[in-house]
This record gives sequence, structure tokens and C-alpha cells, in this order.
Amino acid sequence: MTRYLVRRLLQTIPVLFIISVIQFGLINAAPGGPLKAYLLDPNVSPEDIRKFEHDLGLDQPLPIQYLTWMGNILRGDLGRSYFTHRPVLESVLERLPATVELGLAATLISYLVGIPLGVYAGLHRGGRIDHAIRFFTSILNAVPHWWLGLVIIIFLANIKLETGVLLLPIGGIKTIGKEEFDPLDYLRHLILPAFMLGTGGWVTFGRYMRSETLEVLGQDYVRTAYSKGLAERVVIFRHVLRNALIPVVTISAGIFVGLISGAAIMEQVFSWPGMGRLLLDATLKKDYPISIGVVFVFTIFAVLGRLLSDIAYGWVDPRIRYD
Amino acid sequence: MKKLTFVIALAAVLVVLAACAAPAPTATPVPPPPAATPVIIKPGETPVPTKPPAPTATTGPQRGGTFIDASFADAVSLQQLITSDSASSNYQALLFAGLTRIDPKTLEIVGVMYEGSPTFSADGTKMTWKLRKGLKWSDGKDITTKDIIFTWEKMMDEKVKFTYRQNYKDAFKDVKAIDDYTVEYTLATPGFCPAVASSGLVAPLPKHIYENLDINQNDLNMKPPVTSGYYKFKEWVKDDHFTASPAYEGFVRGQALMDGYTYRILKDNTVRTQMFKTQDVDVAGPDPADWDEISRLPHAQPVAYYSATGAAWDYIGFNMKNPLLADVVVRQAISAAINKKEMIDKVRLGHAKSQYSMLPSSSWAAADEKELPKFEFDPAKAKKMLDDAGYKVGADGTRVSKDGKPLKFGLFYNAGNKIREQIAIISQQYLKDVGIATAVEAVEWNAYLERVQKTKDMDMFVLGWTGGYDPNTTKNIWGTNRGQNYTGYTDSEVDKLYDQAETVPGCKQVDRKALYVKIQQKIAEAQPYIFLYTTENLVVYNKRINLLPLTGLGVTYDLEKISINPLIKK
Repeated sequence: MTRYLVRRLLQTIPVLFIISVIQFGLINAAPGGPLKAYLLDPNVSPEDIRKFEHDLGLDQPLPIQYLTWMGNILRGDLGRSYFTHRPVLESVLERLPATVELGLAATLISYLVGIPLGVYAGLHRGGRIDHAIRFFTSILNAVPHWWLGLVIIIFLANIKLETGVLLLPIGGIKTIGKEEFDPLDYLRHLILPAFMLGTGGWVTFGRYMRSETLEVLGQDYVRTAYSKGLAERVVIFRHVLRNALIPVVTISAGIFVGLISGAAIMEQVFSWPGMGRLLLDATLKKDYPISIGVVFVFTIFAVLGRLLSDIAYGWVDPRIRYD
Repeated sequence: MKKLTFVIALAAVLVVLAACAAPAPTATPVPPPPAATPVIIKPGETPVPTKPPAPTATTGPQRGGTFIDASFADAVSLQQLITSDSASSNYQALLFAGLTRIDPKTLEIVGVMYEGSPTFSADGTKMTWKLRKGLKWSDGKDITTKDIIFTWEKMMDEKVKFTYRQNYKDAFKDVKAIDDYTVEYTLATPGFCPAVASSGLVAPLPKHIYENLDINQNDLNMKPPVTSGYYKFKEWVKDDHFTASPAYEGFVRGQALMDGYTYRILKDNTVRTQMFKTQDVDVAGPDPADWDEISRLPHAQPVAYYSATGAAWDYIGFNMKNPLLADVVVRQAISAAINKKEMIDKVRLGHAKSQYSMLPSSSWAAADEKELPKFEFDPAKAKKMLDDAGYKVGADGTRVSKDGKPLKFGLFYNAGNKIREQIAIISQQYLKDVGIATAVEAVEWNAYLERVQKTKDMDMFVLGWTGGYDPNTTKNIWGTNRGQNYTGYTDSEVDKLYDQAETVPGCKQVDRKALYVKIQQKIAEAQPYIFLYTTENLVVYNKRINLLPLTGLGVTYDLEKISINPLIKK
């Protein structure tokens, strides 16, 4: 197991290297640059722009820029933002908790909603509820979730409790003006973006669970369990659910990573101050150090998530062995 | 099976429980709408004071409350010397008092920390400002010219990443303190009038705080401990909100009535508009399509005006390097062939007005419409102009020049901009009617700028500008070979007029305006741009905010006088 872990961790090094080259190439291949905005400002002279270009090292050939950046990375320095001049790591770490919390909450909602729905649909195959679940999950899979988020915001903006307070806040991370951290207030702000971000997750879990439940229900050991006279809930919990969950466990880490790295749009819609929003901003402004830094962190998440998935797979399925 | 149902129910209950965990009620629900038709505040009008729901008497504006504004972007830094974005400027303006400002009524530059107006030496090489005495930083230290000179030195320090350095070098040779309360600016060009505005653009920094710090990188850039503006720094949660509070009692124009000012970062205008509906923010800038609905909200106080300093306007530019478009008759005919009024009605839903020159009519230097050559929609006249100039209609319906070149042009806009897309498509149809063929093409924004600014690989392009305060900045757009002259327009007389207008003795607006009017006339005649329209600023405020009389600067220009009606609850 230890050898396997070490081997997998070593494999991440070339992965990170290749991704960094691709990202560096792509970001620089896009038209424009960080100083483009100044071209539309009549108060900034071409001399100033040339000086900024030099100060930021943007007048260097691309390979040199890349090597400089990589050299700094190896020394643990992700660089500084072109605009705020703050260390990239500081900016990323500032946003990391919000994104991880949102990702975890979305993953939790994916489990809480997707698994029961999928199992229920599988156990009642062909029933009205099964049809309804399949119909709605197909629609939710097709509809862009950011659009759905906007529609829900417009809908919820008109729903107030009797006290005059909105049913759910439609943006932000906390109520402005609250001095102390209020867990309930935080939870109220978290639930809507987490639910919308988790939609893709619970729809996926629901569909997986349904098909796995159906497959497991047809297995000999389930038939045997029933024929032994075991109670239905015992069969379902001990035999069906346990085995049907195996693929769900293996895709969980992938879903979590997907939710975190895909949070950019949902963070934008719900004004959630996370890493995704930072990345989107940096990409639009061509703040290369920030966007490369954020993607680098996302990549590390992805690689570790994949590793976790593989380990979990062996843990829940005893047939898997690590060599 | 019952257990499974329970699991589903439990998941649902968890979700609903969290949703219902609402905070204790702190506000009375908003009373029902008093009227269906909104009263939109127009220039020169004072907003009607909001009427309290209860008969409790109040005399004059009350102190207290926090204004919740919305910003499309978060600030980069609170250090003004290293930022150039508008969000940063907005935050900084709450914390640091300016040396000068634009008078909301006369639109002249007047002193804030400086007194009155500057004086000029007889030869026009020196400009002197007097600093008010008794001004204090928020830590109680005196504000003197030492702070102003320190800030100037940092602006000129090559190590500081100051965006506008060259601009200041072009305006001033040197800035020095005569004594603790007198500053003398040596102008780079004697009598250079825009220097008056430039001298006050950067608010002074407290020397005793920053003198030993790296201006580019220090922790105080994110939380300045010593300030001089309306408010002190309170809190900044990146990409969520920024709050300035409490009001600084030593602010040069008097302590602000409101306790604090908050910017919420709402990057999507739909969300921003919905948050105005829910009264989570006190102000919104709805899209024209939403304007009527938002204006009718019971708590809305709509304000529609044309900004004197930041009016946005759209145009279609010509690449005059194209020999066909170098012909002034072709440009004028194209302008007359396009129905600009239809764009105002259909694209801007009526929230814009015709523009005939390179300055929006709300600018202090704008020429009267009557003084300008106009190319109103008149397809018959456009056809005749082209016929007379020898552009005859060919077999395929497209006109050709005398040497056989067809009037076929590429019409570009930046992809994703729906307004510009509509402008391009409407124009294409109108031009076809007079025998001019256009190929409309959407180009990604950065690639678009590259083509417009550098490669000039286009014939006609849809773009816009947002006006500034001093018309001299337009010299960069219309001056021969200047940085933003994307059309290739050149007129030596216009160049001379610009030089004269920026050095008018005494720098009186009225004297400078006469020269800018001449420039506008010449440019309007040449039509290097088709000036389409000036957009109207559409803003709605919550009725709980007591606003100021509307001028070209809006309704919140003297922030210290803005108050919140405590009797109107959210």
C-alpha cells in the first residue's frame, strides 16, 4: 500500500508539470494581455505601458517567462498578482475555505438527495415516482445550472417569511452588518449555492444509484437473502445498498473535485467569495499569476481526489488489491 | 421500505430546516405600494423627501444608518498609487479626502483640502494652491504640504507601480512646498489648463505612516489605519463586501450624516437588481428592459440623468486608411443612411438621446446642437450624395466607385455584446437600402481590440467611450497619430485648436469651450465616427435614502449630506 501511494504521488509530478505547460501556453495564446485595459484609458501613456510590461517581465520570450515562473514555484513562490501585487498564495488561501466549504456542502447535499432518490427509484422501478425522478433528473441534467440559479434567485427574491425576512438569502456569505460569526446565518447563505452547485452531483448520484440498485437486486445473493426470509430492510441495507454504493464511493472524490473546480460560475451567480470567482476575475483581467496559481491548486485537488478515489475503491471492494 | 422513506424525508427536512433558520425579525415589513406610477427625478429637480409611515416629527436629516451600495467588481487595493480600476477608486474615495473636486453646479474644479481656486504666475508657468489649515488625519496628526509632496514624490518614484506617471510628467515639471500650507506646481507647458484638474486627482497619503513602507506591497494597502475621508476603514471581506465606518468627525467638509457605507460585490446585474427588490442593497442600475418594473417598486426612488463626467456613448468608427472610407462623402452618406433614432428606440428602449459630436451634450464643453453639422436619417439624401460623387449602383445592387471598386465593407463588433450586435445588424440593413454592402462579423474582445488598435484590419467597427471631465483627453482620440486615434483621422487645424484650448490664458471654461466647439464642428463635418447616441444613466435608490438635488454629477455628490430616513424601515 505504501509503495503504491509513493508511486502514485510520484506520478503526480509529471502530471502537474504537463498541466502547467499546457495552461501557461493556453493563457498566453489567448489574445490580449494584462495591460490591454490600459489601451482604452486615454490617461495612460504608451511609455507607462511599456514600463509595466518590462516590470512584469512580459517583454521576455515565453519560454523564459515559463522557466522563471517554474523556478519560483519550485522555491514555493507562486508569484504575485499583476494588479494587487499581493502574493498569489495569500490570495488563494484567503478564498480556499469558502470554496472548500461550498464544495463539501454541495457534496453532502449530493449524497443526501441523490442516494435516497436513486435507491427509491430503483426499488420502485416503473412506478410513477420512478418515472417522475427520471424525468426531473434528465431535465436537471440538461438545464444549465447557472441559469437555474438565476431563476431561483428571481423566484426567491419574492418570497418572504411573515417576519419580512427572505426565505433564503440570494447572495453573499453573511448578512452585512453582523459583527460576530453566526453559524445559522452562514448556513442560510450557504444552502442555496450549495444546493445549486450540488445539483449536478445529486443528479449523477441518483442515476448511478438507480442503475446499481437495479443491478444488485438481480443478483443471486439478494435472491438468496430474500429466500432465507430476511426482512426487506435488512436485505436492502445489508446487501443491496452496500453493494450499490461501491461505484458511488469511487466517483465521490471525482464529484467533489468537479464541484470545487466547477464552482466558478455558481460562485459568480450567488456572489460567493471563493476561489472560482477569483479565477474567473483573474482570467478576465489576464492576471496570469493568479489564474495559473488557482488552476495549480485545483490540479492538486484533482490529482489527490483521484488518488483518494482509488484508495476508497480498494477499501469498499475487497476484490481490489494494490500491487 | 419505511426506513428509506424516512431517509428521504430526513434529507428534505434538513434542507428545509436550514432554510427556515431565519434570523429574528428586526424590521417592520415594507408598507404596501402607495402609487403605481413612479416619479422619475430629472435634471434640476430635487427628490421629494420620503414620507415616514408614522406621524413622528423629525427636523432635518438624521444621523445614522449605513448605505449599502453594489459594485460589479471588488477593489484591487486601497492604495491609490497602484490602482486604476473604478472599484478601487470608489472605496478609496470613502477613505481619503481629495485635494479638489468638481463643483456639482458649475462643473468647475474647486478646492476641497485646497482652498477655492489656484492662482497662476504672470507667465503661466507656476500654479499655486493654498491648503486649508487645521486639517487632521484620523490619528490626530496635522495634514500639511509635507504629505502632498511625499505623495507627489511617490507618484514620480519609478519603483512605485503608478499607472498615470507619464500623464503627470506631461502636466508638471515639479511640485514643491512653499510652506506648510502652500504648494507650487511648475507646469510642463505654460498655462496648461488641464493641470488644474490633474493637481487634485490623487489624494494625499499620510507621510508619517507610509514613509518607511514599500508603497507597492505592504499590509496597510488592504486596511489603511490612518485616513482623511468621509469614513474610517472597518472591514473588507474580499469579493463579498467592503465597509467604511464610522464617519470621521474631522472630514474637511464636515462629518458625514450616515454612520457607514458598504459596497456589496454583485457581479451579475440580474442578482443586483433582485437584491434591490429584496432591499439587500440601496441602489441598482437596472437594464433598460427592467427599468419600468424596478422604478415601480414601492421602495424605489428612480433617477434618470445624463452624466456630465461619465456619460457613455456608442459610435461606429471608420478606418480611414481604406481609400473608399477616406472619402468624406462616403462617410457622411453612410451616416445619413442609418436611422440612429431607431437604435435609441429599439436598442436602448428610449433611454438615450441623439449625439452629434465627439462630446456628449452633458459635457461642459459640448457644442449646442444647432452649431453642429448633422447627418440625420435621410436615405434619399444619402443616395444623392453617393450618386453625385460618382458611386453608381452596380448590377448586383451594390454601388461602385469611379475606378470600379465596390462599396463593400466589413462591419465589426465584439462578440457577446448584444447592444453592439443589434447596432451592426440594423446598420447593415439600412446601408443595403442605399447600395452599400456590409459583412457583419463578431470578434472576441481582445482580438477585436488588437484589430482596432494595432493591425487596423477592419473597415467599420462598433465601439463606445465613456466621457471624462476634461475635453482635453479627447486629444488622444482625434489628434494626429495619437494613441487612441483608431480611425486615422488627421486635421492639422484640429491639432492646433487642441493646443490652443489647453493653454487658454486664465483657463476659464467659457474661453476653452469656444475652441472645443470649433473642434467639434470640424470633427462632426468629417464624420470619422457615426455618433449614435448618449446613454442615459438609470439608477434607482431605496426611498429611505434622502438624496440631493440632481445635477450632472448625480444625486449623491456631497456624500456627507446624504442621510437615511430612520422612519422608513426595510
